[in-house]
Amino acid sequence: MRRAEGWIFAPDDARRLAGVRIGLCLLLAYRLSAHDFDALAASHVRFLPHFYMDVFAHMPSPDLASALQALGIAAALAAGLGLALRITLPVALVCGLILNGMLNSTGRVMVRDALLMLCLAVIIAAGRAAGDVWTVRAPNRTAFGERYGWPIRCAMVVIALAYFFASFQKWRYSGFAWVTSDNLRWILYAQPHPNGFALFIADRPLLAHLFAAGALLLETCFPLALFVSRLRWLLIPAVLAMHVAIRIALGLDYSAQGLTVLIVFVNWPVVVDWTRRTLAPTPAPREIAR
Amino acid sequence: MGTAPRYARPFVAIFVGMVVVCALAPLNLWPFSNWELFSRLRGPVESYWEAVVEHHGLVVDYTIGPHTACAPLLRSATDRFGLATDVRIYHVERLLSDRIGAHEEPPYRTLVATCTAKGAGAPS
Repeated sequence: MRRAEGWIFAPDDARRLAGVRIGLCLLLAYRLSAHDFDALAASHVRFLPHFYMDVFAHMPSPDLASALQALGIAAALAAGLGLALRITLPVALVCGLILNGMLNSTGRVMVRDALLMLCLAVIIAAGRAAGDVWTVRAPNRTAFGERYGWPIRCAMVVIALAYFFASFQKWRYSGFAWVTSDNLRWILYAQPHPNGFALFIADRPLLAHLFAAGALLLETCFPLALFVSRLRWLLIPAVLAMHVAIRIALGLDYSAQGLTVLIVFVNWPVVVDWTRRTLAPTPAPREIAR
Repeated sequence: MGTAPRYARPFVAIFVGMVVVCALAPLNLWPFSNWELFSRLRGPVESYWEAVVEHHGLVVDYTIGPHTACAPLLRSATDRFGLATDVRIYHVERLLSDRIGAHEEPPYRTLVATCTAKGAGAPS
């Protein structure tokens, strides 16, 4: 337990936390802009409030949905720039929760943006530390300490648990039959209009078993990415590939989840330093002194 | 200056605890999901219930819940398509493997009841 606590609360570079803040805020702004929430509000779908959406007696009006969307996008962009973080980050999160709550209150709860919202909540909990560097006011400041490390590691643990529990539930309810039965084939065939990629897999039982085994193995083993940093080079591209394959085969958009994994696990100061070194002009070779 | 705030340790414990509890319970307190997506086995037969209404000479069908009563079904059909004289309820079964490539065989339909203003009638 102490080792786990020592790992979570190890000091880190402030720029890494700032990179995660910028990435998640830009992703939230994009996700909020990608949906037509006022059309959803105007469509008179049956309002089945999920969890906290019980505070609303009916589906929020199209005007309220548009206002929340605009406010949420503006707040997320301002938070990405590091402006008034104690206000902009919570406002962006609340707008995201209500707008996603609208989508979840139409009869089907969507998992896809859940990890993004959870990781944003962790960044809010980081307080001022998330805005110490890489902000409009302090673009080049650097800092290092314990207060910058724990939010990143907490977000990593949440992500690892999300993938692990996705596999845990498969083991729990279906067991190894999730791989050995024709389950994945039936999932692919059950779509109203399966595309060529879905049919290519579904028509080949062995390939379907391989895809199912790969997905289950990947989700079960994902927590290893926390402890064996070299495995991140394998597990994170594999998870992204899985989400792309799901998008193509089933039309389900888990891009927010995949990008959240990428944003949280990438060491942004290393990427920025490497890019600067690579792009810096190479000094001309000096004339050898006689 | 560089130390974690005092609330950080309890926050991490409660937050991570919530993720674990929601998965194990399971509770879907979004965004604390139960992560049950595609966790249950699918079978080769997909079955659902369908309401069929004749509207201006055209047959319109739509999916309904398994225990939909006649009165609300007639009301919603009248709201959607105008005055509906009767609504037929079918149990539909689709054998997912019953296909050749992209071409799928039509599903099997069984007439369960006919809803009229007088009430429900069993198929003759």
